[in-house]
Amino acid sequence: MNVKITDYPYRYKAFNLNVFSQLPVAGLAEHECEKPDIIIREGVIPEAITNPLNKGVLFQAGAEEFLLKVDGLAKFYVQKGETITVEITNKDSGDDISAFILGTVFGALLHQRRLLPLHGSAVLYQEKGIVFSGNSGAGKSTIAAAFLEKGAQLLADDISLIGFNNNEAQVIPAFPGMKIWEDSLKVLGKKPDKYNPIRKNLKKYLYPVETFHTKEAAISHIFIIGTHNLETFEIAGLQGIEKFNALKNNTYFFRGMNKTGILEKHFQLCNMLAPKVKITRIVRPNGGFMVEKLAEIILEKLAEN
Amino acid sequence: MSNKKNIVWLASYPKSGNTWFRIFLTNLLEDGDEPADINALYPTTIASSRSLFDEAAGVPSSDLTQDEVERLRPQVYRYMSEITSETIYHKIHDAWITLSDETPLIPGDITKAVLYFVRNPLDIAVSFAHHSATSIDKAIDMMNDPAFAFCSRENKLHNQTRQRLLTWSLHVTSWTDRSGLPLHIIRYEDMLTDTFNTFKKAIVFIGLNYPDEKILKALEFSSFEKIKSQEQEKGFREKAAKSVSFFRKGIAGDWQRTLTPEQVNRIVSNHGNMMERFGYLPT
Repeated sequence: MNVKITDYPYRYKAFNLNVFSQLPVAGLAEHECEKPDIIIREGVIPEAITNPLNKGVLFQAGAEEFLLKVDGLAKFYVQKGETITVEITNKDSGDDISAFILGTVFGALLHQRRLLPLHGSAVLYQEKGIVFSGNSGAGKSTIAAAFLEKGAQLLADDISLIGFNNNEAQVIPAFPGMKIWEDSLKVLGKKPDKYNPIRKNLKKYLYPVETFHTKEAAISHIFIIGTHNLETFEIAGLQGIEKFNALKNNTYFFRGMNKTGILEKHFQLCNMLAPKVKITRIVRPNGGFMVEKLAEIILEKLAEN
Repeated sequence: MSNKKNIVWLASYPKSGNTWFRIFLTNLLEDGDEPADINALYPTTIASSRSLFDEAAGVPSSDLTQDEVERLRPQVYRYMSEITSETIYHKIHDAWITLSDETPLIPGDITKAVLYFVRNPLDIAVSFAHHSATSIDKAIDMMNDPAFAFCSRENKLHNQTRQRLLTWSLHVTSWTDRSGLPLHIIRYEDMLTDTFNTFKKAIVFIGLNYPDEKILKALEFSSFEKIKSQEQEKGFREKAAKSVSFFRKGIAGDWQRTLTPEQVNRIVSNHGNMMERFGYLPT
């Protein structure tokens, strides 16, 4: 990508991609580099995509373009997996912009690059790449943070990008931060007032991680975490088509890809990953997050191999 | 967006017969040879589901404030309505409220019908206390609190988005008097005492046409004894985490053996007018 370097004062690395940005992005690791893989710039964005193939309440998507409109804050336009244009509609938005860039916007961009982003947090623990996946509220970040306390290194939070190298499936390091809610910080023995909220009016904080692993790590296990209103833990190892379905269902922003022509490649990637990884579904009690008990179960499953 | 009227809302204050009806509806629509699994009910996703919101919005609700989520919820329902030609059923415990710009949370232009379940608040107090694993006095406090809402604490990610219930009386009047939606009221007590006719009228109102024998079979498969024994055997996913069981007694009038005169007074003094309307005032 040919750009004028001086136009982009902020340089980062995320998901092993060099990012040149005209805006600061809270949470990303600064990284000096000469050529960008991705640029983030400010600009005027059209109200709508011409002939969108897929639409949701806040987004429109085509195969190579994606538009996200957050009323009263900003619009985001992602093209060809390379360019993110941000039109700020509220001058007081501050770091709020970063929260959306690191979430839906990056998710759409990774899909445009025909990659495999899973909805989950990932750590490197005893040389094993482990992804904790599941719906919002399942406790992905909290269990990942608990593993950091046990000596693991962070690979990713919320979006775990999977890559392939010489037939090995790997987790690609994302950026050295996590988004953690106030009550989870307390469960982890941390004081919320030491951290910056990811958005002004949200009690969800950017939790910087010093033990960030900056290289790809071979993926060993994926734990799909769910919750139910029973007091018991349910644990099930997945096999065959169940694994494919689990990967598909736990893809980050899967709905955003519908009808955009991206799905076929995505299913190929899920098929490539499924035989290379152990997938275990764990359903935990909803009442009170027994993070240590969950960690114990995961450690037992890891020790089985 | 097209405006198809294809959403049926199964609306109620908690503990008013909504889940019983959903189990009956599952048995009716699935028409199996044995009772439907209470842990695999026909999709009647609660309207406050976080997954429902996240899928439709394209931005995770966990990156939005509760007020932002609330403002977007009508658009989420319009989106869900638009992407299917089928009838969608949503359970809902929110009161029928309007947002800061006076638009209703529940859009009329996509609403096919509302079934509103109402129950004697004296019995709700007892049942709600068990459900919430709290004291009856605290349950009454919640029912009397105009600001009462589920999932409203802002320091954590709840599994559902915030639901404003208001007081019991305000909940009832919001749906039955203010919403202006095509609405059929079902008294829990009638579900118990005039079961067949009550359930039949409800399904006819929402446009379902089933012969009597199918309705009778679905009622048999969703009898209190059958669903209670299923819960005892396998548990019930929708039970509140701290409560002992979801399906407890399934009767009317339990309050007479449970509530103190003071507790009865606290409910009647707050909700007397609405109770009178539905024949719930103690004699």
